[in-house]
Amino acid sequence: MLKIKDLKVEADGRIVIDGLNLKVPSGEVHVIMGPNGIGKSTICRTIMGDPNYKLSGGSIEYNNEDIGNLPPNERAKRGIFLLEQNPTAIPGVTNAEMLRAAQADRGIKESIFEFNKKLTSACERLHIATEYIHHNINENMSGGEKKKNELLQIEILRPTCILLDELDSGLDVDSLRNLAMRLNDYRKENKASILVITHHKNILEYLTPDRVYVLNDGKISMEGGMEIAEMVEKSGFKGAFSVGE
Amino acid sequence: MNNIILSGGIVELDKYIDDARIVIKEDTIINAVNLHNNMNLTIVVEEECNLELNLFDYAVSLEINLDIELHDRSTLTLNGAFISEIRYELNVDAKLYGDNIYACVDIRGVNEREGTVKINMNGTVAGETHGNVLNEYAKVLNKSELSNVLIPNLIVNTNDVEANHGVSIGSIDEKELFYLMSKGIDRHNAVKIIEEGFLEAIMPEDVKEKIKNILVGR
Repeated sequence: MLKIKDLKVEADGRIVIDGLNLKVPSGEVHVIMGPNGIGKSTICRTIMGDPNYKLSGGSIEYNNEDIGNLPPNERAKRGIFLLEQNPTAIPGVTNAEMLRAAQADRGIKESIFEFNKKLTSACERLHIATEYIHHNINENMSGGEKKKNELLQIEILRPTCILLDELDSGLDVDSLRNLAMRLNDYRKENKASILVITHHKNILEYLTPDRVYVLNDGKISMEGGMEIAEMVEKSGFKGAFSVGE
Repeated sequence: MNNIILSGGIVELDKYIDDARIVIKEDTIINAVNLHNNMNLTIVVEEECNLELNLFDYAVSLEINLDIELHDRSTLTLNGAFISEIRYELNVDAKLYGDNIYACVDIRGVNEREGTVKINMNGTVAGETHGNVLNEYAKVLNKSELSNVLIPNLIVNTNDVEANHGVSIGSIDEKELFYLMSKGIDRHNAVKIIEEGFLEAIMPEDVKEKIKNILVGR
């Protein structure tokens, strides 16, 4: 379980998150909604350990371990995976090289043949060409391709807690449906938890939420089930909850 | 000085060639990978010939001087990459003597803690020439406390030309580092992956493979 208690986060010298509490049990989908610039992505990046976001109060626990002071690689090794809104491109470094290094640093020893077999079958599951493996990471890829690429990484690295930062941005309807459905299958197969950051309800048609939160003033201002997302869709954040005013 | 005539193909430069005049008479690729060799090369690229020159060195101390003459409708693609542990000096002098020549010099380096780097890129476009393109780029990832000098010079004696230059000295991109670490790769390995990707990005596949083999266990 991912447990966030009284979280306070500072970025660029100002408090962005101030007293956030959240519990995401294994296998569940929790959703944070809110207008632009309210600090939704900050939550994901802080959980992952981005050094640009300073944890100035509270705690982040994962499976009963305080991970708030761990570097990002240690958090990843414990099962956390961040799928960024706009995944970073790294020229000259292929997916295969990166994944092999990530596996090695997890202490997984496998031959190049075993590794390639694993990658090939992940590509088949995702209906993507095996050449993806040898592409430079997210370089010269469309928004949809980048996100497929990240999904390929999920299939190999097998995280147990996935942070989805606006998966829907830059994706067409069909791509969003395919990726979200695959993520939902992955969640079920692996009892993984998913924390979804989004503005829109669309993605929740494929990733049915157990809990929906609205973020305002650095903390959760409203929580409930799918009805919260429906109210946002119908009346907007301002109309439904006077958020972002 | 050795006099060498190349009539096309892929040539792996030998470490014993340190002072030579090379004439390119057909399309040629020259690879000079990890020769650890101070070199003074004069290269003449004849009319309508294409030269791709790939240089890589992981060196303690090295000085390379390249004097390249280009003639009508010839091309030069110079890809240079290095890791400097003590001192790396590269002087490139590209002279465009004819018309419709394309020349691109792209140099990338990683400067280690005790390293210094000096890159001098001179591109001269002769007077009364037309339709030439000359690009010079150099980027260094700097881990050293010592000084680095990158000088891009364009000496253009005609107004019918496209000439560009750009240099940068920087450190590891924090976004890239965070990205790799967020996949479970420790800082040391992530830095190494970024550096090597940065160097290899400009190289053709076969040279890239050679560089990877050289840097295994670095």
